[in-house]
Amino acid sequence: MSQTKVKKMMFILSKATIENVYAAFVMANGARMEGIEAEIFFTFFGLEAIQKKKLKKLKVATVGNPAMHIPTMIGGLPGMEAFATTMMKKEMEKLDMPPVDEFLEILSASGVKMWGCKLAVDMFHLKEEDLIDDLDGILTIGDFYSKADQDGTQILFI
Amino acid sequence: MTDRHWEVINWIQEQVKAEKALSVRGIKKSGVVDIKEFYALFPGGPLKISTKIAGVPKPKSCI
Repeated sequence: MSQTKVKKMMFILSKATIENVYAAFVMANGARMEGIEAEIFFTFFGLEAIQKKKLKKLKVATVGNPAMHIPTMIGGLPGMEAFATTMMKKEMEKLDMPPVDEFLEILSASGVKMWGCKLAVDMFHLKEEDLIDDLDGILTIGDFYSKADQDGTQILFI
Repeated sequence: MTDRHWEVINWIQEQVKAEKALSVRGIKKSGVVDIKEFYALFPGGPLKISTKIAGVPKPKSCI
């Protein structure tokens, strides 16, 4: 088992932009690689990352993101989001970063527990069959906290 | 250490000899072992532990 003081990392993913989704995935995978347990709780827009029909179409945000160095007016033009996303995916492929669907398979095989947020699932009227088969279940926030109730657990909101 | 462990260790050494980067994605594509078994064979940081046993540098990749 892990020799680290951190025993378990729990991520709450609330956004569906590519950079946020990858942040959660890379850190969850990285935790497992260090022998640390990892769980991801998908809530609100984060649920897009585990919806079969949407997970391959996640985009990078080109508006309201000063680090993109694209003027907001231009970032909002049709096609800009798709263009920036294609560019970013190309760079990620160069670094051997898997696409979202393959990444989810890797996480599940690595023992990362993945949970849907009950409130958000109900709010978006999602059914079990809309979500990936590797999902470990739907939880309330209370259930989530009970899973976090042990020494050496860290919760991170993304 | 069982035969399965050694098969994985040998594969890792071949990869390093061929100057291929090691990553968990590479394990998935290896055809030698799947990720689930890899974690079961080397619990508590599989790539870190297996590369140590194989006597090769720890991979620098974040994936």
